[in-house]
Amino acid sequence: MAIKLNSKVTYIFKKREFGIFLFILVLLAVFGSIEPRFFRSDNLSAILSSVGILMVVGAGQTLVIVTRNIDLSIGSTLGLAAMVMGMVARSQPDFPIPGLILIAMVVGGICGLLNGFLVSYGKIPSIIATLGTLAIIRGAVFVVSNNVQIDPNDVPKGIISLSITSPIGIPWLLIFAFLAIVLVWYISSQTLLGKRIYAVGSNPEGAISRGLSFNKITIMVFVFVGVLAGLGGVLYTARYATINPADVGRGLEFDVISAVVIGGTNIFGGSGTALGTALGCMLIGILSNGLTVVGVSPFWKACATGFLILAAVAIDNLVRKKQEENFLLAIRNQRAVK
Amino acid sequence: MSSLIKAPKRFKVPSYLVGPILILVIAMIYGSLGSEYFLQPSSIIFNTGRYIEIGLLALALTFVIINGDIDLSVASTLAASAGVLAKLFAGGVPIFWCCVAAIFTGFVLGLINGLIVIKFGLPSLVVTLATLALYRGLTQVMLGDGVVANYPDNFVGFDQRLVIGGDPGLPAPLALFIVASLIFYYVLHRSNYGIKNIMSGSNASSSKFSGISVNNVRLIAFSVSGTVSGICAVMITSRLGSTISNVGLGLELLAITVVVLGGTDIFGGRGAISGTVVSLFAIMAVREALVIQDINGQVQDAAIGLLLILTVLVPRIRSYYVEKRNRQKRFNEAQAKA
Amino acid sequence: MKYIAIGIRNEAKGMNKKHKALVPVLGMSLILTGVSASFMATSATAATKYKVTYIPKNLGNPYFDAIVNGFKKAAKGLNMTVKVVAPAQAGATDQIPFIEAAIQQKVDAIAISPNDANALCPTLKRAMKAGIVVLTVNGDTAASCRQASITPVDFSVLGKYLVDQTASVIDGKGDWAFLSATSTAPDQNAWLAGAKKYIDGGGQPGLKLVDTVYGDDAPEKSATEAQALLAKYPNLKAINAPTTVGIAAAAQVLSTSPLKGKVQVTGLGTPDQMRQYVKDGTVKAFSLWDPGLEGAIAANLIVSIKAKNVKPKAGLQITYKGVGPGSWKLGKDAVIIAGPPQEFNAKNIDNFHF
Repeated sequence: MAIKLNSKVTYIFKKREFGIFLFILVLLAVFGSIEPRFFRSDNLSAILSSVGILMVVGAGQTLVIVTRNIDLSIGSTLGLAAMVMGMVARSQPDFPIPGLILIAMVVGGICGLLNGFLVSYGKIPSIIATLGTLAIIRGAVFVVSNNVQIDPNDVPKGIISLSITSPIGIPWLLIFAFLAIVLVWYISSQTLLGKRIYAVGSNPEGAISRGLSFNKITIMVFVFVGVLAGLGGVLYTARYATINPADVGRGLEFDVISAVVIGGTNIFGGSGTALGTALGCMLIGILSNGLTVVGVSPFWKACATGFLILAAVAIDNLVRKKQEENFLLAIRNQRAVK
Repeated sequence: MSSLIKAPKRFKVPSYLVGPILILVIAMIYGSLGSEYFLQPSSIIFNTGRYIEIGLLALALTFVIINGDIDLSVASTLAASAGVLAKLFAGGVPIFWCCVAAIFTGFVLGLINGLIVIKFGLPSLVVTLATLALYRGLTQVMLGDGVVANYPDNFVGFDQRLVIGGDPGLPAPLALFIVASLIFYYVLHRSNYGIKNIMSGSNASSSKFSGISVNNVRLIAFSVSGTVSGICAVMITSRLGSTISNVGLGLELLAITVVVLGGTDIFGGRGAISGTVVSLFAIMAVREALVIQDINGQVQDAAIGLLLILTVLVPRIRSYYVEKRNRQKRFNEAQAKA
Repeated sequence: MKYIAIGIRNEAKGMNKKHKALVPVLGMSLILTGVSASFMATSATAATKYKVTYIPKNLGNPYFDAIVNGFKKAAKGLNMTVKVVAPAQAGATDQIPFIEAAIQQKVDAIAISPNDANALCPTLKRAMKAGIVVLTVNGDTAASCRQASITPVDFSVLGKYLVDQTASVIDGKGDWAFLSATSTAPDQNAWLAGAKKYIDGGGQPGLKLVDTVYGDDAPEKSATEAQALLAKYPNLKAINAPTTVGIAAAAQVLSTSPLKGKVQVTGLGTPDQMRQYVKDGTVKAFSLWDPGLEGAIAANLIVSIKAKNVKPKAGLQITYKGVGPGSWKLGKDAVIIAGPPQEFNAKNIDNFHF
């Protein structure tokens, strides 16, 4: 029962991600024409920097949502990782930079492990588990730091430079963001593990009956997003230089989930791409910056984000319904022919 | 209809209440260790004012969650309603009509949530995530950076008003909450709508085939949620005596915590008003006990998060191992017979 | 249908399983949380004469840590214990539970750095009625809600000071913008109002204030707002951030931007946080004062009111030996001005540590 695929080119056009890409181009054109300063190099690099952290964490969150889970605690995880790393850097100024990055990622991974266990073996729905760990990990940030923030002084120059430059001219921050997206793309489309992750998300009972270790995959996915949140903590420190126990990472989960949803990942799991998430992050970043530059009152930003999410999900839904319709029609026609 | 439902003959504490009641008792003991005035009726009652708003939101959310949906936008609806109230008041409208307008705004916003979910067939998590941003944005656009204060004296201080005088008396918000709980209890457990609600949450498709208009049920739940948010907006404005754009920020997570801690299943189909009520008082007690012990805000949140996780975790783990043991027992019995 | 309904109703009442394990686990966890958290809470068990609760705007802000240090140092010599509690966020009403707790604990005095000028009034008035001394430190509420207020510097002239400070780092000419804290912060709002009055009255005519944005005392938002200012106003010459979080965020943005040195950052910040940016040339000069002084004055004033029945009102003169300038005269609405602002620049920044 072969269903004819159109040529590769129109295939690309039909892809969800292309739609976001088009929309981004439209936005760039609109903003740029109203205010040419939008395209100034420091403005564009500011957009990329703010989006970079979002992309790193968003890449991880994509896989989590694909498995029909959700991680609300990534903001707190990022905060804890950044704080621990900052405290180590403060007490040992000569600690090697890669070591610091590793520490942050390990802390993030541990938080992710906790989440993973609660969701898989503890059988707690991820929305509740991560709602709880969001508070617990944030409390840990306070206890660990003893309420003292990390000042820019204490942050090694090497870390700050991550947001500015690297051997090839593009800041490390962006390189990490790019790598995270590529990694998730690779896992999801090129590896067996990726296929399993998507299977678990789209049909959990079926996946279990086929022998996939549901628990292992869940834990893996949460640890992955935790590690990426840890990396996000490093990038946060690089960008903002001040790590305040109350503020670091607060509210991040909302932005990340919005970006992932706008990027086409289905909240019920089973589908979603890293590229979509990346484009979703870019869209949010461009919109946010563009509105400010153009002079729209910043208070419209929240409205705009809300509209975007609604539009994205509505379009997704319509497209999916159409696809289902077409598929069923095709089957019916094929059967009729027979 | 009342003959349909008979109260159980023997009074048994429902299993989902064990957790919240235990937390309540332990918290009260712990709090009284910190201050001999903790258990005094006057201090208990005066401190309840600011939790009643969360309690009312939780009551309405219980409906929505049992239904199988979720409403993340309750706090933003509250904010938008408060914004309408403030804007009208600043424009010279008599306070009574401002309150009416606020409640009506809440109703409309809740209705919109429901309509989007139903007409577009979108998951409520994503829709209310979007409206969380959208309605908050509306509030920010309405109020900007400004503050609206100078509310009339007979309007402010609702939480200090006593319905039954004397010492300690019964504060108006608590009275309102008791009345509201009774109403919600009656509707959920003793009326037609309640049964339809529970059945829709339990199994939407079979409910539809049984002749229940699932969409209507959901629409009503969302509208009620919005209306209650509007009422809470009036209460908050009266309690604070001023309105700014970030009013009620973050309340939705606390309300969801109250609902889930009370034994309601986040996926719908199971839950009780009594659970929500007890859990609200439990959380109130925990918070107040921790404040008396001079424990800072972050650790308080962490404690609540921990309790949330435990309340969900322990029953599940217990039931998992009970299941396992039963299965083992059955297997052994079958073996013995063979 | 009847039986289905009953069945559903029973279903809805929850699982019918016993929870014997629930009891000890929940009990243990709550006790554990409490015990471990008690170790973290600031100690309040010393038997001293005066019990004071100080409630800063929020936790983790080094500026308020400096006030606390001054407070505690003075308290030692005054037979006083100072407890510091604060909400997780600097929301308008987040301090209310802590005020309520202090009332319940029947403390001798509450010192508070309020997040909102009006929202706390009902609760503070209740505290005063209960015989508790209420002082506002570093920021003020409506005058009827507290007995006295200690401001770090003269708020009515700080606005002018900020404008002059901006002028001094950009040689008196150019566009500039304010990057403030939260939109309801009484202290910042008082200074912004003073600044506007000064400008409207003809102060610093070469300067043009193009915008006032709010960073909410959150590093990310402050950084975003600073970045937005740079993008929106091509002729911007300076950003003045009269808040320690805001100035650090703006400095960080500029220190990694090609506009470093072309757009000046100034305002109010702590030396420890800003040292880095002064040394790398992003910031020429900024100011603050000694927050510890406010704490010390507060501690002494509490003892005066409680022990010597001093009634704070305009015109009253108070003297505390060994504390800063040593003597102050209360202004209108019982406001005490701690001292003059201190400017920090490359020459003197290493002398200060807070």
